[in-house]
Amino acid sequence: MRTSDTVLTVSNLSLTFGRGKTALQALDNVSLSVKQGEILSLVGESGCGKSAAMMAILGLLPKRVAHISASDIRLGDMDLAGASQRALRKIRGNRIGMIFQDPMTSLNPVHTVGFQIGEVVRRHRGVSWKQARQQALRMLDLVRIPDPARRLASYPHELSGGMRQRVMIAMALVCEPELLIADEPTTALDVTVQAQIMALIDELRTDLGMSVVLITHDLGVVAAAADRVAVMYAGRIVEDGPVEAVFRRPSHGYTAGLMRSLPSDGQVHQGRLQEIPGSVPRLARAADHCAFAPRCAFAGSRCRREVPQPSDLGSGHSTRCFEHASVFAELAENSIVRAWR
Amino acid sequence: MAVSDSQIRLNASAPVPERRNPTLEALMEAAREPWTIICSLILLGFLAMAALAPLLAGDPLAINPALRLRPPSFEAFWGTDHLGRDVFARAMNGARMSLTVGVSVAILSAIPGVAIGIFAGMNRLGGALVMRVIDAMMAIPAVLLAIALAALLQPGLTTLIIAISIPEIPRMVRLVRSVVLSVREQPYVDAAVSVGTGGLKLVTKHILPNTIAPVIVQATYAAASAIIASAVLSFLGVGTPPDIPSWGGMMADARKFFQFYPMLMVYPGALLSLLVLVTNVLGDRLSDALDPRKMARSI
Amino acid sequence: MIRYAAARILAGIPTLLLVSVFIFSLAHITPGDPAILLAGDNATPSQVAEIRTRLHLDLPLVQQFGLWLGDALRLDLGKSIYSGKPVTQLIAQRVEPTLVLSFVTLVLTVLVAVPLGAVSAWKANSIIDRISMGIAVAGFSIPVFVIAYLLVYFFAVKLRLFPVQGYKWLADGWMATLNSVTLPAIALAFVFSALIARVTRASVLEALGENYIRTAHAKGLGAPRILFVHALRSVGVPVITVIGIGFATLIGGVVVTESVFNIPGIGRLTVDAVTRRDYPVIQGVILFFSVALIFINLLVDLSYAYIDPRIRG
Repeated sequence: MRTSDTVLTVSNLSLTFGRGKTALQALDNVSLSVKQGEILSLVGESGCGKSAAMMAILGLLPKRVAHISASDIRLGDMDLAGASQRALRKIRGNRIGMIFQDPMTSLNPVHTVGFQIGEVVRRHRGVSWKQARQQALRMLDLVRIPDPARRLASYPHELSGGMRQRVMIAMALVCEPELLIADEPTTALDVTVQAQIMALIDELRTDLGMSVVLITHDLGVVAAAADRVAVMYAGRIVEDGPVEAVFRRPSHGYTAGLMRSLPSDGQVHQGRLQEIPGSVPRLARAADHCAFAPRCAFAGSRCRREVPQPSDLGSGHSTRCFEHASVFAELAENSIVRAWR
Repeated sequence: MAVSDSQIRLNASAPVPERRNPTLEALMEAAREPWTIICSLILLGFLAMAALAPLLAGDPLAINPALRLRPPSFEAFWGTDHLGRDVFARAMNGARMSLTVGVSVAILSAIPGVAIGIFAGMNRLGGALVMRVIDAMMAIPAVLLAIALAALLQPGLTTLIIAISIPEIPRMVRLVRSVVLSVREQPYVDAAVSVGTGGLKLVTKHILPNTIAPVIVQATYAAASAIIASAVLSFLGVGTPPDIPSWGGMMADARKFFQFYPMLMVYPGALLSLLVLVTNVLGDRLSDALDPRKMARSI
Repeated sequence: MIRYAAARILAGIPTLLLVSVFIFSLAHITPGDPAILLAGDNATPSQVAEIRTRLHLDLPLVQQFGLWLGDALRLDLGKSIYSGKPVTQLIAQRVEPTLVLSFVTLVLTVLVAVPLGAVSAWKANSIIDRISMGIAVAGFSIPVFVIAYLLVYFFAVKLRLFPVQGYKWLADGWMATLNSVTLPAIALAFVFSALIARVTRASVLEALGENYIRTAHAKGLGAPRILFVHALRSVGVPVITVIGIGFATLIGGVVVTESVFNIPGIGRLTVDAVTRRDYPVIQGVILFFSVALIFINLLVDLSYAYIDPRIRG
């Protein structure tokens, strides 16, 4: 079912917060593309810029502090980089839906579920409240909320976390967008509910024929759901490719670190999980070397001198790592990597 | 808890790296802002006006019917009123009376307010009862209560101050009590209680210092609203007797001639508004500087 | 919902009881014999004695209070010393101007202050924000009678758009009534708005940082809808609360404003009673205003449930 139609293209997106002394470079020449019907996963620690990238694309960052530049941002055949706020408002909630990490606080506590879903339809389709309600009802049914007619009149505080995230999904998808951006959609939920929500997203993508950008810090979620993965570190995409390729042949020091910190499926892990020492640097300007080098077990002197450029590993898999060969050699016997082979 | 009192003391007396008082620093920073400086200078001007009134201006009480409603002259900078009294002299003395009321009410509402508030915060049952009474007092509109008290007691400056202070106390009590309750939740106070710190020591060492900043802010607002209230009372004729010149009284006198001599009302009205304005602005600055959570003005 | 309402109403009763204790005791904190006070300045000794018996001033205080409260519950607040008319009747005759003035002020305030506060929050630290918050500080710094006279001078004396003073009763046509209360209502609203605009700004500013506002943006909603339907609606509780609390200040303002504009309302009645030391009337109007204030705050409490569904539960 996969076609080569590209839904979202982003080229050389850079983002800086603030100016002068307090400036903070959040993104440095990020390029990515999402094909129709696929789930692209953006992975990285908090603060690496994965959410900021999506917020920047949607024009959701405050203009006064967020300075964005990009050679191209394109949704289908529409240019988003040069689009006005007015044009972007017509895109948001309509052609691009978005759901957030915390369903507890992402719904307005003083409006009913039906109102909050219905107003999206009314905003973008200009239909009557009655029709909007019908549409909301259909969506609640689609995201498998029991007794949807009654739930339309519920307030968010009357629903469980999982139910609220379903409502968020219904709200994001009610206009049948081409693209769903899911920002850590399961992080705040119970483990059992997490799996249900991911299964729902996966299923709806097939039913509605949409693409998904799944932002997460959890490689387990990536392995289970995504088609392609882009690993981000300190504002740059350091490795990307099809999920099978990346899991079979992890080729960046940071990806390797993420994998080692993951408990392997179905196995009692030996010893303790490994953590990556240190934390994501906050940079005033993009680093003039591999930003991960200070925390990397594989880093050589070159890593601390130059910015690695993407090197193609075949079948759409590329990495920005000088030492990708030794990374792979080291990880070849990792249980996860073995499981994928 | 396994930590003994002596260990805590040991820790407390351990050499602490030189650290400046954050409250003091916040105040210093606020003091450098242009609005703070302007308002402080204006307030100083009012203080000078009040202190130097007898030197700067003539007799505010001397009646001279022959010189009624005169325009400004060298003898009377702002002209004379309907009884031929020197408006400038009366206005200068009015500053004296307004500042006296403002400062007195601030102090007289703060002291009982803090005492009652601490009691209400420390004592569960007594606190509940006190808060019932406070709620009821707040159900009576403040100005109305002040008017009634002022009208019923012997007229005079002391009466006026008391009449205005009493309705101010409940706000102070509420504020102090809420501070006490939140301080009691703090882990370090919990720790102090668990190592057996007694009630009195708890209040003087931990609770009282925390109430100082909000009480100062609230007292500033109380001063501002007391100045308005005293003007209202004088304006309605239940303030100070005529031999104490007040801005409110001057405006009440000016009412009859307002359409033809509006300046008689403008002088006291402008001074009154300016004094209250700078007091309120300073209160806001203090509040911003002293409280990181931007303590909201508690009406 | 009904249980919540019942609980709120019951909570008001002890407050009301304590308020009546205060008002009752006002007569007894004054120096001298309350009978002499109540009889007025020109009473003969026999009149004083008659009052003492009639008002049971010879009985113990607690018993006196019981009798006074019993009468008050039957809406008998005694008779005016000055006119001899029942206090209840005096108040009833003067309710209309005060109600009209307060209502117009409230409408004016909500229409001006709430949007102003919300827009200031949306444009925080902009010129609009700074100017409107500057005006707000001025608003509660300038005494209401100063504003009232400024308005009278420009709009009544100079421009002759409104009457200088006086009140036109509703029975004579509501247009005339509205015309006669416009200036006093603007004066009052200026003070009242200052408070409400500040609280609205602070609450909306906080709400705008909430996650559900980000969701609203992600839904493609426009600025007015996000600001008014999502942010403002969710800060309804603090804003309504401050409107309720602000009523205490407003009542003080009504007393002064009615006096400035010579409006024959309850505020004017209060001032007249105070200057005449007409004690039963003073007690009566304070009780009236306090009950009104408690009632308004009850309405405020009940409106929480309407505004915030979480409270209904």
